[in-house]
Amino acid sequence: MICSVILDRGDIARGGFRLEASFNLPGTGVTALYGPSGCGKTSLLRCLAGLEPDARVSFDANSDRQWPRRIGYVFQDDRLFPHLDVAANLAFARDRALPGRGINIDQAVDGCGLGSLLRRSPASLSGGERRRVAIARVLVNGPDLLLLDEPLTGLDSVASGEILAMLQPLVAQIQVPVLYVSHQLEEVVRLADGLLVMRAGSILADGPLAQVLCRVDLAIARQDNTASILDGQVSGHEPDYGLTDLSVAPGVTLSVQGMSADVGSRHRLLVHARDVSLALDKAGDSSILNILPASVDTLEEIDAFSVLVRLAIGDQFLLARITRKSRDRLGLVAGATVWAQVKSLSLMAAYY
Amino acid sequence: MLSLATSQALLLSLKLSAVTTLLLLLLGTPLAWWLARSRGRLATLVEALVALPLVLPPTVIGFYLLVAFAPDSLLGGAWQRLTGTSVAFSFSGLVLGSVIYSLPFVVQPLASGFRALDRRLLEAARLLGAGPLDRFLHVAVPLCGPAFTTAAVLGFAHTLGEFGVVLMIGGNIPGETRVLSIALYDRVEMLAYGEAHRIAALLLVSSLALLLLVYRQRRPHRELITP
Repeated sequence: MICSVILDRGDIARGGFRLEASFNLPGTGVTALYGPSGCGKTSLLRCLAGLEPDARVSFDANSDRQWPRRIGYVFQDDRLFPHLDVAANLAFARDRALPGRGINIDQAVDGCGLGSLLRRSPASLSGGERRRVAIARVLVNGPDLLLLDEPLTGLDSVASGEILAMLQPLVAQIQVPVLYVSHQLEEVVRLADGLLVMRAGSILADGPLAQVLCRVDLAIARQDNTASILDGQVSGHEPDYGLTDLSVAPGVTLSVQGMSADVGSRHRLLVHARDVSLALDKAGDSSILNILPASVDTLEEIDAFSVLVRLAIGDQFLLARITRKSRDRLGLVAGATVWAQVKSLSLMAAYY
Repeated sequence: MLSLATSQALLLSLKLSAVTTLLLLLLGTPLAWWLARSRGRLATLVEALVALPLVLPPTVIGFYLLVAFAPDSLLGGAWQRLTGTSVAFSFSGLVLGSVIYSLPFVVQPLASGFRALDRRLLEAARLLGAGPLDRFLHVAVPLCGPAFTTAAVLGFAHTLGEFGVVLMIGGNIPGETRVLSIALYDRVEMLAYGEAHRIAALLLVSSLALLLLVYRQRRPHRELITP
């Protein structure tokens, strides 16, 4: 459904803030809300949750879906009830769940790894433990829409990794739309199916993750860590080399190392634009394993030195960042056929 | 040992303080909640009115109560029908006077407790589906436990030490309006210093004990960390 949110906080010239956002909220799956700090991501979540009394929130009346009755919110500051232990915090949420909604407490305790923490008070928990309790609490409450406000903020990389790995199956299980606020591209790519790019109180882009990431007109494409994603299906293994082959387009395969997955399963690969180089001929004697045939779709100069090239591989897009000099030397124009050499890629997520 | 008359006065004082404290907690809690979340002129006025007994001579309160609840007045008539007695010279009159007299001692600690309450936790409770009363009873009240203790103890102790209002509206009827402070005054008038000493010491020690209860809980506890 299409949601519109307007929040007026006075004149922008006088330090005020105006939020005017309209976007599509899919029926299920994770939609990442991505943008720089201060662009209004948290404000947008608060408006959706009904915590800003002067916000105007509306959605298209034609939608066959109801506006969510119970909106789950995982706050950046956790907000566990300090007078209740972990078990009682979960019970508080469970007791107030709508009839027939929410996962049961045992499932949440297992899923979030809280078994040994149930009798602890929130004050005695580490940051990562508190965050896990906050996530479990919201899940047992059975939301129709789940809002996660930077759930990895303030955590070290170990705790962040644990929570990401924990979130993936849980959000897939509850089958409700999830809005996930983040300003870390890697988190977004791990979890999200859709992407909302936000800047200065409005939505710049809205669509499936792979599509929005490849929009070369957006600032997201101008960052140092600009990346695109490729969907691949496991087509076979090379056990002698420890490699797995993934098909990304008819007749086009990538080799990934250290991966164990069944033939036929689908996976998401992240490729940074800076790790893709282009050649006019297939370098037969290169040490680079992954050399893919591609055609140049769009070229965009992103600064005085660099050009971002969007390549079409089958029906997928891949971004490559090259120098202006290389573009001129290779004579790259839209429609040209090239070989994309992928120096490294990372496996981000499996599709459940 | 205390004389029979003094024991009777002690029991009456305890009864008056208990009833008054209970009523004040019931009435003062919603009032304090409203004061803590309102900002308008009306709230300022109400706050000043609540604080008035702190500065006003108790005799002034007693005087106006006598006038307002005179048997031939509208309020006095209503009171008569409600309680079966007049305000003057009755226990129910003492309760009325005490409720007004001790109001700030209950409302002010509660209001500052409610003001210090973390609103973010109430927001979290609301999103989990807790309605206003649910949030109040299961989040606000437990988190404001110390404020409730302070309010109850101060209300009780202050009522125990009440004198001026009782003197104005209550007179000195044994078992009905003769509370400890009046009994003490009475003994001194009669030059019965032995009994007067015992009553004064009783009030002194019990008041100190009650205040210790309040101030002990204000000292920060060492954080308990379970391993």
